[in-house]
Order: sequence, then structure tokens, then C-alpha cells
Amino acid sequence: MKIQNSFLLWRDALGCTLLTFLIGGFFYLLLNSANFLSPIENAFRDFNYSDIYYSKLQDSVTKTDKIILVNVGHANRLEIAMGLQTVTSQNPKVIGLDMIFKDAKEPNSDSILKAILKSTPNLVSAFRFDRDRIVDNHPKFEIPLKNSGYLDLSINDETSVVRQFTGAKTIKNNTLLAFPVKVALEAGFLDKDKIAKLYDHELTINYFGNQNRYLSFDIEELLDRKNIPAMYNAIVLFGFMGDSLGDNFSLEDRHYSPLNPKFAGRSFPDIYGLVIHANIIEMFTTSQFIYRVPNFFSWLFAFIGTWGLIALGMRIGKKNAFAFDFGIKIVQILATIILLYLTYALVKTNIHLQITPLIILSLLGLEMICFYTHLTRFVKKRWPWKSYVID
Amino acid sequence: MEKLCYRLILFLFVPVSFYGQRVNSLLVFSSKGDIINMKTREVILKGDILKKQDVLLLDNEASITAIDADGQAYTYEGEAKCRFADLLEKKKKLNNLTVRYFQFIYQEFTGQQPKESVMAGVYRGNDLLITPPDSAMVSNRNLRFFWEHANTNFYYFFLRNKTTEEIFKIGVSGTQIKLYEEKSIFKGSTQFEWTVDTREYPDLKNIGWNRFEIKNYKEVETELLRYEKFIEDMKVLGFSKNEVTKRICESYGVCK
Repeated sequence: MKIQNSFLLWRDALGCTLLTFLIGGFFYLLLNSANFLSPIENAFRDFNYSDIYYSKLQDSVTKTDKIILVNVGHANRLEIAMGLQTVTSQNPKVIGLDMIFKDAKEPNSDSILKAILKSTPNLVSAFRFDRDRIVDNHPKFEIPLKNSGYLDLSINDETSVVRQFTGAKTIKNNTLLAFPVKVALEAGFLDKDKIAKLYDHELTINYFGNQNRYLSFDIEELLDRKNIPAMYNAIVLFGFMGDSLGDNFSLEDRHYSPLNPKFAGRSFPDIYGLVIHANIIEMFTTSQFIYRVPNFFSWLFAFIGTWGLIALGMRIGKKNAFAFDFGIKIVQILATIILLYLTYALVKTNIHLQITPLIILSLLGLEMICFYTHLTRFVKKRWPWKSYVID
Repeated sequence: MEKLCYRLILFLFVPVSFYGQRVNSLLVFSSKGDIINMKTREVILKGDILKKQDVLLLDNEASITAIDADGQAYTYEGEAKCRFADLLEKKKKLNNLTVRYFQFIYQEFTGQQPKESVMAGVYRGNDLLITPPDSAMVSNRNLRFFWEHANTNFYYFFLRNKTTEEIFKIGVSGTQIKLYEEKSIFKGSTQFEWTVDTREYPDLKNIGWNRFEIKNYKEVETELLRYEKFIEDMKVLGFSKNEVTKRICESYGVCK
């Protein structure tokens, strides 16, 4: 009897789970198709539960001394050249320039910059794509493309969160590396085998922190220093981070990231492009890559989790209908809190599991028990049908 | 039982003592105010390395954050003589994920997240700034800037080149600073603006700036002729040449 009851419970739970998936699928299609509901879809498009971890729960205390950022602000080319010279004298491992000297400007400062660029060892420069063509440094600086990396990151439009990047691209039989990949390669943290795995393949960016994680200087601070011990054997990146460090109001080269203090709703771009590159480089230097659980397993997990929760709900409802009606909301809240905690524990170990289907479907599933009960009664009137919930 | 107690004591204290010895140096991640290394008599700056034998002298309102090889941060604040070991005791602690998560859930449920108010307006003018005043003309590229005293000893001075948009920023103890024409910020323009704030990172688009223009000596002298009568009156009243120059600068924005 007990075994039969148990079988009926799990069978009814399975039936209710399938009904939940059907109804959930219907609402999803409705959301996609109905224009008046598109604001809701748009609001959720850029949201990911892991954003709450990066925004609110991540370790914000730990810093790193392996990657150092230099803010060029609105410094002219002569000052950039002088800053480069100062940094080179500190014997860093690699110097990366997150900027493109596209045009020729004042001849004197350009020739000084050119001379210093040529004499800087382990220098990685930058270029970008503009549709089919490459936009790189002016030929007068004589920086070969093989010493550069592309700055492009994967975003659909200017309002999207930057979550992924492509590490290497093959274009017209040429291998082109992303700027942070090139820096990591020159710093000795990558070899050709690892790079081969990056071709035309998107990687999820592991965000360790925003600008306050990295030792940062304004370029003017370098010009007054003779000795900066921290830069010895470090990766030093030059780029734009506002008029001066701490300028959180400049919009130039500023993007949205999962670190945004507002993880949902309208917000201000929170991270400079240079800091995104720093995070990617740190990903390679510490070999902390994000593993995204394939969608198939996320949905399988959602199915099994929903099935289990519905079974629990049916068991409570069978024992005491009042307890079910009263307690189901508490169960839904507790289930969400626990599931999110488990998700964030996985994010901390660099595993990203798509938890949204499980949360939404399990909450919907508990609500569907009532409808399933009515459906079972309807079926039982017409055909012989044993059920746990109504027998 | 006794042996167990001794082993427990060893187990607890040995790792602690090893940890204290494991950190042999710290990297200065950020500093504010005047901090001197008493061993080397040098000012401690961001990017410097601190060794075990170093002793730091911090002045009032100074602070230092240093990190070890693992990225663990240590922060010391306030006027003090700080040994390396003292700094190690000021480790920045972080709760584990479970605690942080449930604190976050609790704050969300109880609505304890801080609510920010937004100012629908802008600031114009800055009460701290004295000379050069707004829209001043200045003949001397070796410029002195004066400002009022606020409730602090430490200020952040900003100077912007209006042509290149370059900004020069420096922390200053006191209420004046003198800059010399060789400074690169003065290159390429005659139009500048300056301001002072007690915050290290103010919104530069939303604080008051005093504009000034650098003119040649002849132009300023010509402008001063307009105030010849005023200058004469001031001299008759017993004001010195320097005081008169200062008054003209403050009141009329013509500064030599």
C-alpha cells in the first residue's frame, strides 16, 4: 500500500510537472509574441541571477598586485610617452596599451612617442574592428599588428551587459588575438595549445572586481616618481578611467557589467573598458575560468527539481490541506532562498548554472497542484484513473 | 588528556605564529595624508613596499591600505606611529558567503537597503575659492592659489586646461598652493579653471570652478589702469603694494 501510494505520488507529481512545463511554455511564447509585454521581456533580457552575486555578495576586500592600471585621462602623447618610459624603467613583465594612436598629430611629440614605443620591450598595443576592416595605430608608429590585440568585446548593443568575449579570431587566414589574451600570452600565462581552444569561441568573463581591486595610478602620479617597486614583474595596463581616478561620472569607454551595484532596472554604466580587460587577464593568470553548465543539464535539473518540489507539495496537501494553503508560500520563498544560495555557492567556485528555469517552474509548479487536482477529477469522471491527490 | 591539551594548544597557536611570520612584506595599495617611513625618512606612496623593520608615522587624517602577496588588505587610520606588526593586526575581515548572503536576504526583506535621494539641480560657485577669482586675468604663470579653510587640514586641488581638457590634481595640506609655469598642464592654452574640494573624488562636473586667463604683462598693466584711482586711494589709506595687488585680484580679478 505504501509503495503504491509512493508510486502514485511520484506519478501525479510527474503529471503536474509536465503540465507546469506546458503552461510555462505557453506563457513564455505569449511573452515573446505580445508587443505590449515586451517591456517585461526587455527588463529581464539582461538579467542573470549570478549578477546578484557579483553585485552584492562577491569578496570586495581582496586586491591584487599582479595587474596595475594607469589612467591616461586626457594626457597628450608626450605625457603618455613619458609615462611609458617611467613604467618601462620599473621592469614590468608586460605593458599593455588600451588605446589606439589612429591619427598623426604634432610631429615632435609623435616622434618621441614612436621612439619610446619602439624601445619598450614586451609591449602589447591595440586595434579594433570596424565592420570588415581593422582600425589600428597610424603607420608612422610602426607597430606591427602581430604585437597587438583587438579591443572588441561581445555586446549586442550599448545597453547590454558585457559578459563574454572571443579570445581569438581567424580572419582571412590570419590569427588575431584579443588584447587581454595577447597580454596574457606575452606575460607567459598562455601557450599555443591553450590559445587554440579560444578560436571563434565565446568565453564567459570571470569578474573579480572593479577598479578598486587593482592598484591604479593617474599618469601624472608616474611622472613625479622615480621608483615604483610594485611595478616590478607586474602587468601594467594603460587606458582611460575618467578625467582622474575616482571619476565615476565620465561615460567614455564605460560599460555595464555584472558588478553594477544595481543588478536590475535603470542604472549607470559601472566599469571602464580597461578594467574589463584587467579582469580577463586575471582570469588567464589565475586560470579561474567560468564553467557554464550546458543548457540541457540546467533544464534537466529544473525538471527534476520541479518534480521533487511538487511531490513535496502534494504530500503536505494530502496530509493537511490547510497547511498546504497556508504554508505553500513559505515553501516557495524558502525554496527560492535555498536554490539561490546553492547557485551562488557554485558561482563562487566558478560554475554558472542557469537557475532561472528551476526557480520559475518550481514556483509555478506548486501553484499548478490545484489545477492538476481539478484536471485529475475531470479525467477520473470519464476513465478509471488512480491518483494520489484525490484518492 | 594532558597530552591532548598540549597538542590542541600547539595546533591553535603554531599556525597563528607561522602566519604572522609568513607575511614578510606589504605593498602600499593606497594612502591618504602624510605618511613617513621613520627608517628611511621617505614619504610613503602608493606602490611602495613595506618591510618588517619599517615603522610608519601617520599624521592626523592619514590612512594607509597595504596588501600582502595573497591580496589580503590591511588598513591603518589616524595619527599614530605604526609598526609593521601593528599594520598586520588591522586585517580587513570579510564574512563568509553564507553570512553575507543571509544578511543580504534579511536586508532585502526588511527594506534596510539605503535609499538614495537625487538632487534635481546643480551646484554653481564654490565658497572655498579665494584667488584667482572667477573670470580673472593673470599675468604671472607662477601662480598662487588661495582658498578658505574648511573643517579639515587636507584639501584636493584641481586645475583644468580648458583647451586640452587635461586635469591636474594634487592633495594639499593647508589653504594655498603655488604652481610654476614649467608644469605641463600650462602648455597649449591660456584658459584654465581651478577648484578645491575636501573630497578626494568629487563630481568634477558638478562643483564650482573659477576660470582664469593668462595674459601677457602689458595687457594686465593696461587693465590695471582702469583701477588707478582705486589703487591711489588704497595707498593713501596706508595699504602696502602687496596688499593692494591682492585686493585688486580678489575684487576685480586682475592679478599680477
